[in-house]
Amino acid sequence: MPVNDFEKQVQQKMDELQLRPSAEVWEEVEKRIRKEKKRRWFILWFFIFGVLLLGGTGWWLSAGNKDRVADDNVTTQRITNKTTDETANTKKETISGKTNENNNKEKSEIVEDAVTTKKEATTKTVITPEKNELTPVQIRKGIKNEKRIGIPVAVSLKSKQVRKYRNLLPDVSKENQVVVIKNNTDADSLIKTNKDAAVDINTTKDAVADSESFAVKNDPVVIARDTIVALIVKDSTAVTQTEAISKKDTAKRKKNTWEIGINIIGGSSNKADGISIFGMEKSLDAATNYSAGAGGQSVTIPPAQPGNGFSWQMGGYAKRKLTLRTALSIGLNFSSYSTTQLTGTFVDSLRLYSNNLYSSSVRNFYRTGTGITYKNHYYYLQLPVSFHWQINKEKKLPIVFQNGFSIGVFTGSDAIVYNSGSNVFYRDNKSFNRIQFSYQSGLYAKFFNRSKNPLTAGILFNYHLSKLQKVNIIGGNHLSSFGIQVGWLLPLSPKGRLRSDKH
Amino acid sequence: MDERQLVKDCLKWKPEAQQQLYEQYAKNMLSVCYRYTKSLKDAEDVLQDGFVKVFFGLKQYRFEGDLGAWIRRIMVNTALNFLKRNSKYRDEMYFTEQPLLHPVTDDDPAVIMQAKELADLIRQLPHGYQTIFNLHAVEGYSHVEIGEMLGISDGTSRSQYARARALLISWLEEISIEKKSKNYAGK
Repeated sequence: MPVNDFEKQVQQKMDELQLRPSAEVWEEVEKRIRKEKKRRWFILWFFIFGVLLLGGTGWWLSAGNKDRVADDNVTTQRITNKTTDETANTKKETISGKTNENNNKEKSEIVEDAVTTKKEATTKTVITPEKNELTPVQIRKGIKNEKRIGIPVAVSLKSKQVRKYRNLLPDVSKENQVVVIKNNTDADSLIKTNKDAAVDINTTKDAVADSESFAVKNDPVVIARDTIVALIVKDSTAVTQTEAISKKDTAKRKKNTWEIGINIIGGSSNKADGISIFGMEKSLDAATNYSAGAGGQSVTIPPAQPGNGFSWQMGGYAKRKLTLRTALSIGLNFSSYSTTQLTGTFVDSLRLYSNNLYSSSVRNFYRTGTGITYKNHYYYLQLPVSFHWQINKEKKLPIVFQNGFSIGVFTGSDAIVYNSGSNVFYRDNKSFNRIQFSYQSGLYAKFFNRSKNPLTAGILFNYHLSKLQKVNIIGGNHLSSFGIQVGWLLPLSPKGRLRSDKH
Repeated sequence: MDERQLVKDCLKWKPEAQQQLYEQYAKNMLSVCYRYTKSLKDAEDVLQDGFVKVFFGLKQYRFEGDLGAWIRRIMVNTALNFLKRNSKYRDEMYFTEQPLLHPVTDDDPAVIMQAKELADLIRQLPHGYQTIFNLHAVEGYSHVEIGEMLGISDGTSRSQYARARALLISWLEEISIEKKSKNYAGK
């Protein structure tokens, strides 16, 4: 007997061997795959949430930083006719840690009392250290603009303390180091390469060929071959049928490519000016347009800049496929945007106010200040039209870039508006533009794409091209929002048939 | 159900399709796992791990070649990983030199026993021998491939296989001593 016959016999015997596993094995397998699937989804969602959170936080912080610049630029004031007592000599005092409740940022002001003789009028100058130019005091004492790099301004003018604070400053000249982590994916032994597959196929072929030469039990092999031939014929017929069905399906889909779905968007909103979404222009406007009390005779508190609020949209859409990877959608959304506004005391008194367009009487108003946080809400009914472009070719998890415009109708608001002439806030819905055009852009992924009701989730940025108020105001006059959008494709086609009926 | 359709349904995570795939291949695959391990419980553990890998790795199956062969390769790899992980097996996986019990000859005995008996005999081989014998004689891997899989040289694989084969043949001879004369091939 040739040497290889032993191996062939062993191989044949082992191929015959079948052992029935206990029922617990499948139960355990099922439990494990369900659990693992959930875990993988959790990781995916956690990743998406993390990316969105980082993006949103970046946007939020960016908007917040610009607000701080705006607030600090506005606060230069002059207070006159302040007398000092007899013991007053030339002194330097510092007022520090003034907290702005609007954005919780520190304001530090260095106050110089230029008093030389007793009972003389003294001028106090409040100097903001935020400007790029050095103040006279800073020049004298050698203080550089420290707050710009995130360290609280020195609260004393003594040179020793100045040096102390300087030592605390980070070395900004050093470049930030970026660590790039490469994902080293271990291919593992889960799936072997095609080379291995080829080996196996060859082995199987060899085994079949060898089994033919194994003369003892030839019949089963012949039967097996016949069966294989039959299966191949059956298979090819099935493939042809599948192709025919597939063609029919494609033809049906071409006829009916509409999709209907609902979507919910939640995120953060604020007011911006010009094209900027981060409030840069609004801060410049605020710094230049605001006029303080005349002649330095009275102290006027400037209006605080509006802060971020919560925004949400809810509605439905109909989407039509244009090509394999592009689509156009039209929808109807109810949208709510909000901002926060710090105000002073509430005054319940009838007053007549006017802007450059009209006059109106109000029953009550808010003074400027930082004591009360008022939430402004703006409601719109919007009709968005968007172009969708799938940026990847993946069928299981398509990533889609969305771009479009929407037209909206103002439906209501409880927002207060600022009147620069009287330096007060009051409710005036007449001042809002009734029609709003906005631009929106987003990115979303389509999950469970093979199911009847795929889910979409992603991010959406929305910017109102139209002015919020008809009149020019200090600060942002365009609503903007950034948030997470989640959509669900309904099982109904426009004709009212179940989507599954089509197949 | 057509195998291609079955795979597609499994990819859609349909429970009934997954169970059908499992039932279709579980018996054969348990026998594979059984040959590499020393107890049925260990074999079932390997089977369990293997099928979890199959369901999550099914998207990488390109419908090229036999699905059974593809699943079998996963089972073999899972079994090898199990042996490496499990100290009970790992400690005996060192391929120590042992005297050649039976020289390789052309007059090997015919395997005239039930498949289960033969599998049990293979399982009685030392772990190293058992693994290499299974990989080469049953799965058909070359010694170079076995060397890569186990991290040993192909020469070691060859010599270990020769010893395993010799040992198994000696056992077969003892078991089938009374039928030896009539079953020798070529005689």
